[in-house]
Amino acid sequence: MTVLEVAGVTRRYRRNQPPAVDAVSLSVARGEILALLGPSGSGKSTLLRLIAGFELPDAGSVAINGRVVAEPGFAVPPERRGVGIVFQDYALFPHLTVEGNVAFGLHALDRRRRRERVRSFLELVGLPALARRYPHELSGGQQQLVALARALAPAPAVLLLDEPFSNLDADLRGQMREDVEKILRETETTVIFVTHGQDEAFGIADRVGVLAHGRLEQLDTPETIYHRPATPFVAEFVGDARFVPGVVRAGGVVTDVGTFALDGDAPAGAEVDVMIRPDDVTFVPAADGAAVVVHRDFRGTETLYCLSLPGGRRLYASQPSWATAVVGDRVRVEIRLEHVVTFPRRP
Amino acid sequence: MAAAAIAATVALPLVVVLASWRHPAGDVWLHLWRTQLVELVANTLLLAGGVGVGTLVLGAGLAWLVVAYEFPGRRLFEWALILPLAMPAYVIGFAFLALFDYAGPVQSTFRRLLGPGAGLPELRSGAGVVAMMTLVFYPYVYVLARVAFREHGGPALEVARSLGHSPARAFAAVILPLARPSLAAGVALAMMEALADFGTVSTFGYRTLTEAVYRVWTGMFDRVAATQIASVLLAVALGLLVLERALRGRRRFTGAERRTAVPRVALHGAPAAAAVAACAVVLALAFVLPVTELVVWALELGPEERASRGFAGLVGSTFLLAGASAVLVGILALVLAYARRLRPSRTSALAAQFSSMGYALPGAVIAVGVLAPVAWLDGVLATAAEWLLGERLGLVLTGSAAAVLFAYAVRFLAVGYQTTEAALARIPPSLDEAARSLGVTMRTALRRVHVPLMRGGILSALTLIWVETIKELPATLLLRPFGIKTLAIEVWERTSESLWAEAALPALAIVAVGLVPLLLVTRLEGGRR
Repeated sequence: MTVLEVAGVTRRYRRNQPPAVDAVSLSVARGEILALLGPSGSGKSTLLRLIAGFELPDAGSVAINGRVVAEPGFAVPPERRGVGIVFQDYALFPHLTVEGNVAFGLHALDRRRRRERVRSFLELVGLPALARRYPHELSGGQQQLVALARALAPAPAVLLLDEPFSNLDADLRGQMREDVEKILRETETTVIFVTHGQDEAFGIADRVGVLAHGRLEQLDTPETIYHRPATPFVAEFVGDARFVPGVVRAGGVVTDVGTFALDGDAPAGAEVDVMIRPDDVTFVPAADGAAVVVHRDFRGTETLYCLSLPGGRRLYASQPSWATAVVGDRVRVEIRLEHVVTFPRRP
Repeated sequence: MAAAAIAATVALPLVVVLASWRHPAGDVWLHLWRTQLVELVANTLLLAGGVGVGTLVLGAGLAWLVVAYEFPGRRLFEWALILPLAMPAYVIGFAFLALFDYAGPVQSTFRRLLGPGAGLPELRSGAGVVAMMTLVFYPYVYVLARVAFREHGGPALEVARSLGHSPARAFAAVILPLARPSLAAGVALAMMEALADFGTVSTFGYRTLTEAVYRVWTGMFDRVAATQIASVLLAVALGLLVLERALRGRRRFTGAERRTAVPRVALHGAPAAAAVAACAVVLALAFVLPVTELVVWALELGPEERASRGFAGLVGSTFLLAGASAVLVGILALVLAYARRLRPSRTSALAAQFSSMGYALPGAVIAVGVLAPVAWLDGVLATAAEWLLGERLGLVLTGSAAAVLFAYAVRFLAVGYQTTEAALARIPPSLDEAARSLGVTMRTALRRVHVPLMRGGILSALTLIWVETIKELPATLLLRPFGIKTLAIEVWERTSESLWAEAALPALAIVAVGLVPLLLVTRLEGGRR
């Protein structure tokens, strides 16, 4: 059952500039969690605001539960869309207690019903003991949970989360991610959340939409996004891909660094770029090796090497943290691709 | 929409005053032109210029003294030097007249001691008026300059000194230019107050445009001529506004992020004594002396006499009128600020700026500009009443509280707007969106989110408007409702009859009220802009 339908939505802030959101279409099913992933300026926050009703589309439409809420010349105001939002800065009302914040959107209920509902949502997020506290008396994680309870209490058709974990300390982030996902799954909430961190997107979402320059580059499961990126941008943004030029021959794609079986059907002679990720690349020290280590980046759990190939091409290789090669070593490069992904050669 | 409507209403008196030139110049005007206008304009410019220079020297000098030097009593002086702001110019004016006039105690003593030839320069002169106004308006410059010196002074001084400037040269070459926007704003405020002043110039018999508006209006009953004189005054005020914008300059001074305090130089011996003396003399002349005198007079008057003057009723009606003004202007300011937040369009920005201009307009100009539309509306009402009810209706609005409240709205909307807007700006926009996403309309959000969060700001706005209204004289005098008297009017009426002692108690009440916002100012530090 489709809850949210975004059809060809475009939003242009300035007439002579490219649109912030460019003809984006997507639909979200009931209970689904969708992540919008993209670098800053990719239009993901604008898309969120278009769904919420804080921005109006120049073209296209937004429908919630089959009812059009925005199209050019017509817009249902945000307060009547039934869209809940958890803001990046949580936006808790500082003059209201936790209880008051959660009750804020429940003005249609009578007092007794309201109190019951506030209690049940505070229990859901595990903070019933803090009902009388004010926002400034809470930790960042607690504030986030209150913001979540507040947004969920009026039973929104869709819940939007804007960079939900970016304001939390790194050590808190993992735990919060688990807690929030558990709550969202338990309540079977339909969710769209915006992030620029792929870990968050892959860890929580059923499907991930990758945005670049206002366009939806790909919308798929996390596995497909990673292994079968639809565009070079997605490949680069998700997993640090590099490209090696190659030519399609009968036996596969022939490149400087080896020949790879092709599982698509490209015409022989076609010029393509082959996607190579750091975890596809290994190397062994060899005095007669063609490549040279030019940079070593020790990261703790792994070590990222930058290798220079003959002709100046560079490749990255991730190695276990105990790898000992140092800058200047000659090495022989080995590449093993589970999925061979190629794109038409970029000019 | 609401913002545009408010702006249009507030701009109406301005338009009326400017439009007065459509009428052919009346006889009075021609007469004025031939005999007085040159003198009036010259006097007015001289007054504004004199007050500008005086407040700049006194305000900036004292500010630098308390920021850059350490001397006995510095902390006390730093705070107390703001106090004269509580003193309306007409109050210090009559206090000085009573003390230093030819028949006053000071000059009499001089004559007794030094013979009949001894005396002081005549106080009822241009220089005298400039001196009075400088004494009470310098805090505008002082407050803003102190903040500017403190904020930019430290790092700039260090850099200048490291480049080989002496402290004195560094002050002239770096600190003053850095503080220029603040100094310009402060001087402009002081000069606007000088232009708007009616009480002092009339008590001192110094002829200015403001005073002429009143004289032509009430003495010759020539409203067209009064309006035309007002338009000349308006031109001077607007010229001042333009000058201030120009002096502020296009340069945006990016505040040095690292806040270094100005290193205070400790003074000892003679320089310390001189610094103390400078602060003490200014404070004594501008505040202690006049207040003491008012207290002495008020005590001399005796309790029965005080009671018989209906002082309580006077305070009551003044506070009531000021309260109505505060509530009305406060609401207008809130609507304007909130409209600006909801729709930050060019129109609303312009509306806000337009509405804020009233503060630069002298009360006499506003009064003259308010009366015409109010009288017109009265005419319409009367015609309508006659047609509908067959009854003759007198003037309903003219001479009612509505007219004077309209004038207050024009004059003090800027005060209310700036305070309200600053409070509103501190509320993050995501709270608005949070409220809406929870199913609350923007109108309800104002009540449930913004107003509770801005309570402090709204309260200070109301206080400031309330106090300004109590101190206001010319517009109140020209437009006051029949039978209503305020403290300011009582002071003016008594002093124009040279009944100093009887003016003392209401004057003290005004000063006491004027002290209230100073506590706010010291807390907010930003001053009134």
